[in-house]
Amino acid sequence: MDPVLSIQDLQVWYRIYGGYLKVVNRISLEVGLGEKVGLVGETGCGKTTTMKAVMRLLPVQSKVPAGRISFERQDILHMSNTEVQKFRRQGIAMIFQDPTAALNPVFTIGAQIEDVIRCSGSVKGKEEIHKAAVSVLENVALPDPERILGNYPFQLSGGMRQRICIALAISASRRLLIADEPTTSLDVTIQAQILNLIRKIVTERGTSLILITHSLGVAREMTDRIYVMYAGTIVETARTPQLYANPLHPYSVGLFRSVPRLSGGGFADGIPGRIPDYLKPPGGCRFQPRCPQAMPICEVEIPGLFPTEEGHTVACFLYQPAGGRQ
Amino acid sequence: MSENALLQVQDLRKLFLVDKKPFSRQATYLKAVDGVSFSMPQEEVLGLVGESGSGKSTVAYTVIGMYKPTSGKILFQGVDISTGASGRPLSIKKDLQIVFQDPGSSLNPRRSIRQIIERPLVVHRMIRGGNTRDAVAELLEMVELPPDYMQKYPPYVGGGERQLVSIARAMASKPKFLILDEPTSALDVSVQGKIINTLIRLRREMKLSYLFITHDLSLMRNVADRVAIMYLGKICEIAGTVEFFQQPLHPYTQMLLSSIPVISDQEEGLKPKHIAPRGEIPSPVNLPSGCSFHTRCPYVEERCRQEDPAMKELRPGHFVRCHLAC
Repeated sequence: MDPVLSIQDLQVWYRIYGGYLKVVNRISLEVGLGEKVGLVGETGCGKTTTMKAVMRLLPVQSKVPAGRISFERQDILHMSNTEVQKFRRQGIAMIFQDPTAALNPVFTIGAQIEDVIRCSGSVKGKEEIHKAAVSVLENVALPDPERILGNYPFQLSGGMRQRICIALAISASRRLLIADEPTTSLDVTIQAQILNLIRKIVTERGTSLILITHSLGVAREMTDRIYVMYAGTIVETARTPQLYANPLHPYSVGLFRSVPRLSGGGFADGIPGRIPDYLKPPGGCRFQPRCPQAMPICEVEIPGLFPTEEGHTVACFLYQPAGGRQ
Repeated sequence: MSENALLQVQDLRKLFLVDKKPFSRQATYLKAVDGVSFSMPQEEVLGLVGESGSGKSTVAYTVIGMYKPTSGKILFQGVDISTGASGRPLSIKKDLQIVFQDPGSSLNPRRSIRQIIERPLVVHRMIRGGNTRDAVAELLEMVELPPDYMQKYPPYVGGGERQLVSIARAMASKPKFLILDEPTSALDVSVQGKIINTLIRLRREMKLSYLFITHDLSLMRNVADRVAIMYLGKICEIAGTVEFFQQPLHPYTQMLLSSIPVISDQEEGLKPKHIAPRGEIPSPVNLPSGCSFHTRCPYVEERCRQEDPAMKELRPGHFVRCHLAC
């Protein structure tokens, strides 16, 4: 079956005073129908930039020198503005990290939700739209929807605002939901509720999901398959149970070792060094300056994605098949 | 409360004025800390855990002297320090230091790292003569930073290194007691390990005590000797770490523990019976009647709505504030 979203060899650069920041470097990923995919990585690894490219939300000082993004066979990068608007209304919805910044502070929740419903064009008439807005809030388990529709964002708590953002994202039926760190600014008990809500909605509607997160725990609970990102490259992809049983890339291994466990027993010092300067990224593998197992070849060549078992690929020369070395 | 406690906090209360009408006696207060008592022996790490708005940082700021308590007592080595910082002798300030959450805003960007670290050395007369260079280098070495960091400015070093600088600054006066206010929650997991392991090593070498404030229970499992859970300005459970994670007794603790996303099946097995979290933390301006957790508690009874439970010692050293726990 065709994937819902497919990204091929995407590069995204940002122009700054000293040249171009080569942030996203030849990323390829695919999301199948109804599949829940995780994009895991630390601050500044390009997760959000990649998804902004998908939504055509990149700022003006960026450029996309290479790559192709197709959503249900449409080429997103070459759409006209009207086509982009239609695609955002009907194709993909995004939930942002900070619900306070995502909602407009000077309009009521009702005005913002009704606006989205009106634009999607599925419901007509003032009263019908209002009814649809009420049912949308009921879907995200918000108590007393009539009152909330009349409230402004500042009158609600962080967890409620994030529910509103989810309500906005699902108010028109979309085929793909991108959730960009939807629970990072929330407390752990609220996080559990929001994640349950997203999981329920996605499963019920058969929507595909891309979950961007830096938390390995959240990714484990929510996804079927995971892409691990480091410094603008995908370093490892695997089905979720495979990855957690057996992370292979030295970066993933370091990451897993640094997570404090509920079982105790201490944890590793983490990964020495920090992410590279995107203005002059290191040659070869971008992780090589921090890698405990770096080899001479890593400084010269960029590793491809080598398959190790069914559904598990690693961008590291340690896993290059013996025959390919010559 | 033991005689040889390093820090004793007795029935601490801190109210903040929210609103007062002119010429009226009526005033609204936010009860940030509402009767907190605990005591810490020498060389202990006490984890103070809670959601945002639970008052855990207010406890820390009151102990350090940034706030003056509304009522209650704070004793440090038997000396009453329930005044604001201005009323304390310098010798107490020397022994009590703090590391803040965000090193980006707690370090002056216009001062070099040398100037930042040398300030407490001068204030507390830790050095003879004018040469601070060696003393600063020694402190940097203590947190495993190279001496050439002295000339650098905080914005030009990484987030993890910046936090190590603020630890070095706190260590400059050779304190006995450190308050750590979410020292790693602004950092990625791959740098968190370094900070935590440095703190663990310093504690062992310098015989320090830590009041470790965090919302991350998995981290506390690995670091703390005892864990206290705060909810709406009160401590609802306090116990030794091993006992706390094996037998959490307060329903709120159970809810928190069962909502933590973990990364292995083994840890999943350590969680208490799943309690689906519901609701949100109520406003500390209008506290609920009776037990403050009753609005979210799955086991709520009539008594909980009317009567505020007292702290009970149900097992040796294991205190719980709940009518139903046994």
